[in-house]
Amino acid sequence: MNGTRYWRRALGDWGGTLILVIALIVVLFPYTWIFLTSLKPTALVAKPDVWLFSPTWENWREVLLESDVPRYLLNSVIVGLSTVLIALTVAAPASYSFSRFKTGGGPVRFSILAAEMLPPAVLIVPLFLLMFNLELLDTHLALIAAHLTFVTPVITWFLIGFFDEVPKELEEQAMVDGYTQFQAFYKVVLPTVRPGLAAAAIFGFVLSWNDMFYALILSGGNNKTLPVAIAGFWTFRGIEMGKMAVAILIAIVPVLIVSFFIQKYLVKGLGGGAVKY
Amino acid sequence: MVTRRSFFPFSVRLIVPLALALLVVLVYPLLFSFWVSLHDYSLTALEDIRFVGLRNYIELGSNPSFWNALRNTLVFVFGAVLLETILGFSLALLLHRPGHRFTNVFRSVLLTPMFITPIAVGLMFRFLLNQQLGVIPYLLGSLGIQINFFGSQLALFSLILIDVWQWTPFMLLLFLAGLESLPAAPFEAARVDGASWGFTLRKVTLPLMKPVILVALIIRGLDAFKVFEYVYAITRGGPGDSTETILYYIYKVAFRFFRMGEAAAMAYVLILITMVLVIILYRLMTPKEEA
Amino acid sequence: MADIRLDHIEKYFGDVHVVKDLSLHIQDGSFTVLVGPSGCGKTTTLRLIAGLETVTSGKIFIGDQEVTSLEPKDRNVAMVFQNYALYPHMKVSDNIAFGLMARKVEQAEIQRRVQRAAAMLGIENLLERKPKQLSGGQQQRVAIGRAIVRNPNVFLFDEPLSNLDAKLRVEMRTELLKLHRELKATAVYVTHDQEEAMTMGDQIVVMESGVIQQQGAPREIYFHPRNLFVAGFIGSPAMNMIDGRLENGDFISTHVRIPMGLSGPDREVVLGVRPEDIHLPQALRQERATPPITAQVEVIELLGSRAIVPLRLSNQAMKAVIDERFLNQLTEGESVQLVFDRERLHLFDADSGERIA
Repeated sequence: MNGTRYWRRALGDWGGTLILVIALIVVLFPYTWIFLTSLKPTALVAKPDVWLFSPTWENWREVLLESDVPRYLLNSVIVGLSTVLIALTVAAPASYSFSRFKTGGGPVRFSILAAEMLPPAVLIVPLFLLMFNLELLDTHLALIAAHLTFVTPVITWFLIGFFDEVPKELEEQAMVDGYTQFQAFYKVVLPTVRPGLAAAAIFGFVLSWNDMFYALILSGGNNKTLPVAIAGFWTFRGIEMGKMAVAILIAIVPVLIVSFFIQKYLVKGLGGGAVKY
Repeated sequence: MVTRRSFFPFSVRLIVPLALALLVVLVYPLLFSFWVSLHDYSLTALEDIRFVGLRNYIELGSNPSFWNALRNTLVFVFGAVLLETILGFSLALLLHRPGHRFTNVFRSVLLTPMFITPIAVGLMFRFLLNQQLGVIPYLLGSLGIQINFFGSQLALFSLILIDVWQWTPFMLLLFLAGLESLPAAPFEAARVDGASWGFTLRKVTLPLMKPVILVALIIRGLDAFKVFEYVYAITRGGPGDSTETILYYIYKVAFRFFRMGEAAAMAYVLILITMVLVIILYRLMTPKEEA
Repeated sequence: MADIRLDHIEKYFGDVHVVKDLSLHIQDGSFTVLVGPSGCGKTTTLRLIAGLETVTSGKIFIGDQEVTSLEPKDRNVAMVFQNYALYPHMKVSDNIAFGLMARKVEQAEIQRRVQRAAAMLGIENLLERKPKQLSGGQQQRVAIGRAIVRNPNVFLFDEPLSNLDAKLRVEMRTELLKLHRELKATAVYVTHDQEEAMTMGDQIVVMESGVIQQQGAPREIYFHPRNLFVAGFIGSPAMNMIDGRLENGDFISTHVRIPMGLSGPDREVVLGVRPEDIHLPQALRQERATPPITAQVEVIELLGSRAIVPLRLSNQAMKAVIDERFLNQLTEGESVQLVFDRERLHLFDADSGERIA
């Protein structure tokens, strides 16, 4: 029996697994830490060496029931939903057009992607000034407009892949049956890409949910969104850190849960689009 | 549905809503921004907005803070993207093997950091790495290692590490998708032909993955240019100005010093740099015609 | 150059028992064909020899060396894949040289061997091209070249010709055989096409459901199939099977009685007779003919110098191959008298499928 060869291979396998486990720990460590921090009584927060403590839900209670964080949460939700709704309505027909008719060809399609890649710095000054002049600062509308600038292109790009998979015969059949082109699109094609629409909506919502840059400048006061509220915990006194941990968890846990479900669509939308243009 | 007689074919009509939306929220502000950049536009002196032509642009050349910010950003982008590419690719190779039962679980968990709002990531690491309150310096200290993560030498590098934590998963995702789209047969042939794992990696895997790697580099590079949240959450540009990135500097000029004209001009220079990269990306991603 | 021995090989994929207690000895220098329907385990067996799959239990020997736990690269085998598996980003000469470069053979030697292989296959003018610029047949030659250049002990072929069109396939068969004779190497060839197996192999191994059904020279497999499966699988059009009983040494079925003079207990049997062994009475010498059997002609499918004639014998469908000289005796829809060639009858036990005579 030639044992040595076996050993080398087994070692390679175990080595690989070890690296993966290390990576796993590196990823999970901050989550664990922040969760534990949210449960730490305020007196202990400033002590990094104390990890055996009796957990307290005090921080959670204060943040969820006594602070403004739930309102900011609501703001994030409102802005996110509105952005996604508008973006989908506008993007779906356009995506369909790009997919089915190759409208504008490569350049137009690509400039849509380019729009998403613009640094927010470019738009923040004009958007701010515009909102300032229109007295729309600190409204949901201002932020929605800003978020549309990057959510819409991304959703458009994302949906093209899904529309590509709908066989042409479907609409042709509908039109033969008496529908107009738009009706064929609306009543036949759209329902077929429903999973893609859902995935795009979730993806767009997460993008809006996560934005802090535009939110920081265009919203404030009562209309702050969650990321801005979290940033507001910047000055760290021991008191704030536990509550900051709670706020962070509120912001990231829903997204993490959603990310598990959306992963396979992501490979199709992101990976497929980037890898096989 | 009312059918209207129209000069525009159906395909064009479908795009109209998108075009309108982008016109309003994107194109108009862009043009307005250019107009602003040509003026001495200060929020503290709104009655006194004067046209100054290209002066804002020219003065950038002699603005040391601007160049410092650019340099910091370039160092950041280079360091972060390099590390993320190497790590992401290595992890993708490890996760690509079908043998493991836990591959899916590993992958799902390893991908999560890219979905978190960057400000949260910034703050998390700010406290994890804080000299007095952080767990990690404490753990390192108990091993005898003293590292001041946000001291003047290391601050930018620590920010790079945070970026690596958050965005390596993104590279992992792209590379996994790429690896999975490669044909399997040549790799079996390589096994039979006698190629060692390293030889196969060098001569087969990497060349075949070249297009994916390039695309990933540019997409991530463009994104890394926009780094802001980590700076805002932790260092606010410091110590000194060693972590002042270009986006943060623009933010400072516009919303701390209120000099909108200058900020707009800087933003436009940034567009130029971005566009160059975007065009390269476009060339790379469009399938080339064979003669 | 080496012989191959498989000792009691078992292979499971999860719960699926793909290869069952397979023992096989492949002679040095022979051209052995593994043939069988899809899923019979022939490709798996080939991959086990290559080392691309590991056995669940059992041993594999190449030459004197036990290779059971060795990686493919240490077994000194070369493999030609069904879809060629060329490296798409490399030009042809690099594709062929890949194995040599991996083993760090020196440049001059690599050049020499590549040229020689290319010359043998007639592809010298393609050396600078990339795979996607080549036709299927050319790609196949490159794949073969890649195998030749390594001077391996064993050549393994995994249905290499199935992706080629019919005419090219026949041409390549001859070429492969010529190459085999020149190289004098041991070759194991997998195919699902029984015609290919018959024309190419010195030894044929018929497999089904992970078990070897019969191993032998083509003649033997064709004229003396060991069981029902082999009998029905080899030969085209397929052998006719008639259910019946063996009583007192005679074969009895509805409307058919053939005295056979066999000993042994009475049992249910199946009589096999190949279409080309069914003749019109005047075409066959008396001594060799069975008593006449009446059947109804359904169609006459003329193939040129002969015709395939589907028949109906009581309630059983059969096919005969009749030389065109005798076709005027046949009319579609009418009954005709036929005889079987006695020396070409096959009798199988109805339960076990094993050959009786």
